Amino acid sequence: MLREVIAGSEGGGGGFVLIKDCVQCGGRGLLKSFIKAALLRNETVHVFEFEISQEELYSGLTDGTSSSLVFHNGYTDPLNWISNEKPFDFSIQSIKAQIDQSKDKESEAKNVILVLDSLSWLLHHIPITDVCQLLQEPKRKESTVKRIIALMHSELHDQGIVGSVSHMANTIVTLSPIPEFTAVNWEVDPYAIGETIQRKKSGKVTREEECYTIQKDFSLIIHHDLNNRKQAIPKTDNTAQVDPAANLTFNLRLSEEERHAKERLSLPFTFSEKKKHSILQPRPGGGKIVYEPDAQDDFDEEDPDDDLDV
Amino acid sequence: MFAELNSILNWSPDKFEKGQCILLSESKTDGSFLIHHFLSFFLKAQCKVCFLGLVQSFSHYSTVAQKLGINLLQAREKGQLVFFEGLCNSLDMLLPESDASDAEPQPLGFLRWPSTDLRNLFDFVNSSLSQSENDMSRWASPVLIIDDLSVLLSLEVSPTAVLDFVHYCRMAVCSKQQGNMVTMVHNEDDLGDEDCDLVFHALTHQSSLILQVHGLNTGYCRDVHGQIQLRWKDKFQLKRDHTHVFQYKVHDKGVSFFAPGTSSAVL
Repeated sequence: MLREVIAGSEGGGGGFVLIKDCVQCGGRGLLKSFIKAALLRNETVHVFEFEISQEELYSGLTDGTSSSLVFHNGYTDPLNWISNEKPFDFSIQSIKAQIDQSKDKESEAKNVILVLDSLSWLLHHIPITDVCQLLQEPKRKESTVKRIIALMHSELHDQGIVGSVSHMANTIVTLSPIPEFTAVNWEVDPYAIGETIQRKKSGKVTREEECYTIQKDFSLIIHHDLNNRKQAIPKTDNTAQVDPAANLTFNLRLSEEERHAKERLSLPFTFSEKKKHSILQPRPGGGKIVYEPDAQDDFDEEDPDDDLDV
Repeated sequence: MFAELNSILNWSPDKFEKGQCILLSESKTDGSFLIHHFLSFFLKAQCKVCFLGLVQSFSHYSTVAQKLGINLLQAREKGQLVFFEGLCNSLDMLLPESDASDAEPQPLGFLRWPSTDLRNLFDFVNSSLSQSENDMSRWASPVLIIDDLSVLLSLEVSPTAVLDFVHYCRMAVCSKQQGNMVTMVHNEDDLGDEDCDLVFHALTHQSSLILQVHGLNTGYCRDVHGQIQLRWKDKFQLKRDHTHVFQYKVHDKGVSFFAPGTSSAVL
């Protein structure tokens, strides 16, 4: 499923894709895999980069000559500490304005893939309400943004914020490290386990867990046989059943007659049909209680104990 | 510098990785021996070092460095070492002697105006490490060492401001000048300090080499002072992290590292 999400064949290749990584396994390799796949489809990709330099991002991805990749440098001086020129404006209005500049004037089709690296940086500097407005862009008809792909470091935020952002996503890929007990005879060393949850427009939610590796050219390898590779726990059902009544100084076994006698014995308080019938059936001339209330008795059918405060 | 740690890291004063962001963390023990190691290592490697000493005085570091064969006073006079003494400067900030000092931006300006960011401190670092033509011929790559960031959190600086400061330092030192940066943070898991956890996790994402020092779970021990975990992260996040765990003992003039459970007192 992860491969289809990267290829954009699921859900029309639109919506908001959230990659949640953790300290043990970073998600930037997967993010670059998304970018590479979009570039190969000749889609316009706007990358707003806040955490690494342009050289690091471009390394292995592109030689910088591709016009489809538009790099917005939020790494060098986002807060205007160095130069006194116009600072990099990472407010939502500015991001939208920068994307609109590359609007396809001939057609009204949405054509922009917006990549945020990382969403965590934005969440620390802009109120979450503004960020959520930005994340709604693919749903707006007049917007040029077809798809948003964002990387978020889940340990850096409260559960509430992580939950709110996850709720807005059409597809969530959560990365977790490979468990340590997994056997190590792999052709290609696996990187992490990605749990992909996809919410379709019909309301259906699909979930799949895959073990993957990103290669140097940012292509994806899925390790399908993760479950088979887990070390099998050896089964112990080959040992013979041990007879507990053997080799004792006293006899625990029953002969045939003793077994029959045991089965015939009726236990106390276990009533046979005949006995039940004789007890339950009312005998003729049995006790009968006749009650005639005195004049002083105020017998109320609804309140026989006369203790209701009605 | 400690020869055993050099061989574990596969570094030498002539050959070490550049453009690295190194994170040191200590938990339930004192990890300052790593700071002394990296300070003496980079001075021996002829790098220009900017040291933000927020925890101890200059004379403390100088005394320890002398045991490791480095003269900090001489390095400072030569211009190789720029030492920022946080303790003295903070006193000057809080009890200014004259009003003239208000005119210039002070590196520890946030002490008097708590709502501001650490821009002044970054300006100090940037100006100390920006290499002039003269510097580039004399010294190898620039190095920034911070001891330690948790002090800033204790001084009511917001975690976002600390992370912005580290971001700019990393950009100016590691990305622009291919220098190295070493930062120390406290990381006490069970204290529930959200700010410290946030800074530690964010720096873990950004760093390429992480050295975590833990005290032993069983408490203080005379022969084993603690455990150190080294984690090398792949720059492009395509390969899994490579980790190594050692136990260590700090001596007067060095530190010995050994595999867990193989202390000389035990064997």
